[in-house]
Amino acid sequence: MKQITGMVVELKEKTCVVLTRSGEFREVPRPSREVRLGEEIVAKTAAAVWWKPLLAAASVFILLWAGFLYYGWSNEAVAYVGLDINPSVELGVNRRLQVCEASGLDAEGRALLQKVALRGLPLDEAITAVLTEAVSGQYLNPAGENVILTTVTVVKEQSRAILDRQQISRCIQGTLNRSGVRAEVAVEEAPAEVRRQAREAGLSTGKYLQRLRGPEKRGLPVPGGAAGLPQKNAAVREEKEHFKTRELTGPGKEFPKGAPEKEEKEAGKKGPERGGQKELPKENAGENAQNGLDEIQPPFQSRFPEKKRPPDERYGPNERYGSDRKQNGDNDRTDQADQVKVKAGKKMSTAKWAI
Amino acid sequence: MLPFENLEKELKKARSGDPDAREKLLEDLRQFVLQTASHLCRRRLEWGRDDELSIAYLAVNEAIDRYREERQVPFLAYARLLVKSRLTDYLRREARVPLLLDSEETAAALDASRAREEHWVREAALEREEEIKEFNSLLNSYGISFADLVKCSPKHADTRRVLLSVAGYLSARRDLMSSLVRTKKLPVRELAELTGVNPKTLERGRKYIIAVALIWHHCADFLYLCSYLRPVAGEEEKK
Repeated sequence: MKQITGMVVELKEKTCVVLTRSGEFREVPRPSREVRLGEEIVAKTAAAVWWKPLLAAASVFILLWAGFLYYGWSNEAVAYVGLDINPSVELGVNRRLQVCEASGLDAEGRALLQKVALRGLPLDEAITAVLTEAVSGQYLNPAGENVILTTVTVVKEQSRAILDRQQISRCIQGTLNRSGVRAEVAVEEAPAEVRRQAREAGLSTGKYLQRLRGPEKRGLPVPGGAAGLPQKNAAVREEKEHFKTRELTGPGKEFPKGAPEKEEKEAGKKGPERGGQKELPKENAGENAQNGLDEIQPPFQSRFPEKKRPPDERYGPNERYGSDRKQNGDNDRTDQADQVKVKAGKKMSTAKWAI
Repeated sequence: MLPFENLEKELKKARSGDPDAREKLLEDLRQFVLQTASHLCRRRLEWGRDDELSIAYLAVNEAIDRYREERQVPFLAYARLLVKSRLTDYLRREARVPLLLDSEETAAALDASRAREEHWVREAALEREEEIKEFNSLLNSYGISFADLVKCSPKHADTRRVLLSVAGYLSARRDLMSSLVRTKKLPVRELAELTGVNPKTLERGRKYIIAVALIWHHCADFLYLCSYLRPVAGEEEKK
């Protein structure tokens, strides 16, 4: 606070203008006592000089910050839609149902995403774009059988309402029909926890889900390396139909939120007719043997030693997936090699694992 | 250049008992005495014909002795007050009360010497207030307000010094001042040529230059402002 001395030349309500001896005209706060024009007063320089611009700068900053925060909020991914065609891609969706993230989960997925710009597109347009690109990139074969497994993971529970799985399903089907590609479409819901685990395991949510469901389902959406043998087609389809009706599009197909445990129970109920492998690990092993699975088969039973274990623990620590990941890598390579999109059946899956 | 520049030096010398200096100072002040007295009596006075001038002259002489710097009243203003007071006394004695002079109560206040001093202080304050109001209205006729001056008053001491020197130069040039008074516009181009200051700087400080030049040009009318704002004093203040 500098003190200045000057002659009062103008009186205002709260301030007065003074002329200093050095020839400056300054506006200073009016002293509390009575002042008259022409009087020489000593006054403090107005504080207004420094805080007004500061206030202006601060308010601009706050506005910018608020805008930034709002943008961040509105463009935050509230849900993820995973598409496993053969390339696996995942789309993050913001509150306005626009794509705000797009990531390829494998090499092909990334390659595919490089060809299409998805950011900012409404979800259905983005899905259409991805599928169209997949068709033109011959990942989806008009002549063959295709499976498109879609997983929906809601991250922000409040935003659950904006995602309609049926609509996604219709959108995919519509696009496929226009492209003349036949494919089985399944839209599943996966809890955020499963998605996270899938990411840690290096898999797409859809593929990871398949793993969880047990060995007999594993081959379904994972485009099989040994698939494409014509004589197996019927079996494959049968298998596929089976899954479709019972697991994927049936009324009880939804992956429950509290999930793995219920799922397990469900599986347990179904268990007997399918060998009951989930309930009894030993039996499971036996069935594996029956099905021709050899020792390379990932020891799922070890992950399900007991029914009652809490979900997190049951899936086991991440390291356990090491071997899986490697095998998955093998799968991908195989996929790339023969470009077959036909679902592999149980046996084929077995064969694949044997490779 | 300004009536104050030598006046203060002469005043100091005269007050310290230099008869030559006093003589010279009174000589310099003759014009001032004539103007002031004529104004107060509201008629043209002439040396050797009117007693009022002698009274005023003696009052100025008295002012040299009685002047107190610490009162914050410029010498000329003080002298003017004293002249006014003495003339009032004189005219009252002569029973010819001119319109401009004060009422009975001021006369009563003049009785005691002490009361008189206080009276002058009040008078001075009043004069100053009037002066500033007058200056304000003069500025307004140029479309300038004090708020404008606050805004365009140069913050930088160097800039201010440049503008003050330009204003000083301008106020001393009759031709330029008359052009300013006539057109109410600052002769920027001429000033730029004559002083070598960038026309842009002049244009930016236009209002400031006009205001200061007006004070200095009408120094006799703005005694208080003029004694307050001096180019030399402004720089000395800094040291």
